[in-house]
Amino acid sequence: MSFDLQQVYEHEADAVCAVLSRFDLRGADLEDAMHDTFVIAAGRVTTFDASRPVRPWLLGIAFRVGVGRLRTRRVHDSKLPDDRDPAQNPERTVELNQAASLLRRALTEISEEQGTVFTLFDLQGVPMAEIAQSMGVPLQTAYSRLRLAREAVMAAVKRYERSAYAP
Amino acid sequence: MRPEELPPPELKALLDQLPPPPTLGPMKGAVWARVASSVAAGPAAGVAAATGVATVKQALALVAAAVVCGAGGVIAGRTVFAREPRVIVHTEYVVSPAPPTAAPPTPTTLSTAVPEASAGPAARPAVTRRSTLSLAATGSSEERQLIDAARVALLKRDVAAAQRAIDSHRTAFPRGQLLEERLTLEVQVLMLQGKSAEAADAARRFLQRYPGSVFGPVVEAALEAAPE
Repeated sequence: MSFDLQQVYEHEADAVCAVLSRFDLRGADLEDAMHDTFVIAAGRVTTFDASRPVRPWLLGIAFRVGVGRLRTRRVHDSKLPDDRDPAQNPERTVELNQAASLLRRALTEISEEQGTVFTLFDLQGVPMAEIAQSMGVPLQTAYSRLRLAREAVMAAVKRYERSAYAP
Repeated sequence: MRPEELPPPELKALLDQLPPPPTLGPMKGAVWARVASSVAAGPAAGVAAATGVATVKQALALVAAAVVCGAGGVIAGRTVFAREPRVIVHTEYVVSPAPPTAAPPTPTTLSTAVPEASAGPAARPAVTRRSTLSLAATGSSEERQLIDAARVALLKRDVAAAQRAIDSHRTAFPRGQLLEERLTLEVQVLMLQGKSAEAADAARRFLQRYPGSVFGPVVEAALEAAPE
């Protein structure tokens, strides 16, 4: 089994960054989370089945790191930190932020397995065949998990939307 | 796109509103430098795969050496290495831990030693160190996250972060499957904090509670480094 961590980093760092950014990690926090993700991956390389695709496995680790950091920070946000120029398109900025905020909270509420499948497919566009192979399940099982994950995400989003507008 | 892949309209509407992810930019190189440095702090050889070992003795030696290398230890006040102990073993040697509380899973030991009856919540199979190896349980994902966070923090010499993760684990999982692993991390944190005497006390309690633990060598190292 061969696993070149630097090569994996070169290929996957952007995808890991994308996953972690969904958890409102920026700047030094994002850098720390990325570091942690790859260090954890390095530590688990001996249990990694090299016949399976790297990306789903690695992004699964990133997902857990992101969720862990968010839960630790206990972010109860009704607004995101503003990393965009609101003067350019304030309404669009608010809309984007609300969607990201709702999704972020939903991802911390659903199971890790569901969150991982959802993140890999719907957010990162990893082919379902790769996800299934990484999970070691038949393709149809992976699709079933995706369906359940989507239902869980939308249920969580609706819960937050209702609570946001509750009297 | 297959029908199963099409998101429901509501979900699609949400996904369409998401901002694009940020780009790494110059941070990419800086992060790699940190990762490389942290990983280099570990042993050159990873945890060995014991697959295919011919004898029990070879498996024990291989796994014990791997665990010593992989479990993490503090010697003379500096973290030597910290890497999650995971071992792929031959199918004849399926290893699982005996948690200190609740109904234990069915551990398969490397010997035919028969466990004693449980004497209480912290009871463990009565086996000698040579005869039984138990590796860190996987725990729930949440529990594993906290232990991972503490371990990574120790790697980075971030004692405060390690302590926070340990405290969180203690609160959330007072009798978690990864309790044994957490206790070893506590000893390492105490050493990094310069509290050698406290670390030694914690180490002695650990060794009394978990005789034959796979983390024994790590904890013993802390004991040896403590002043008399």
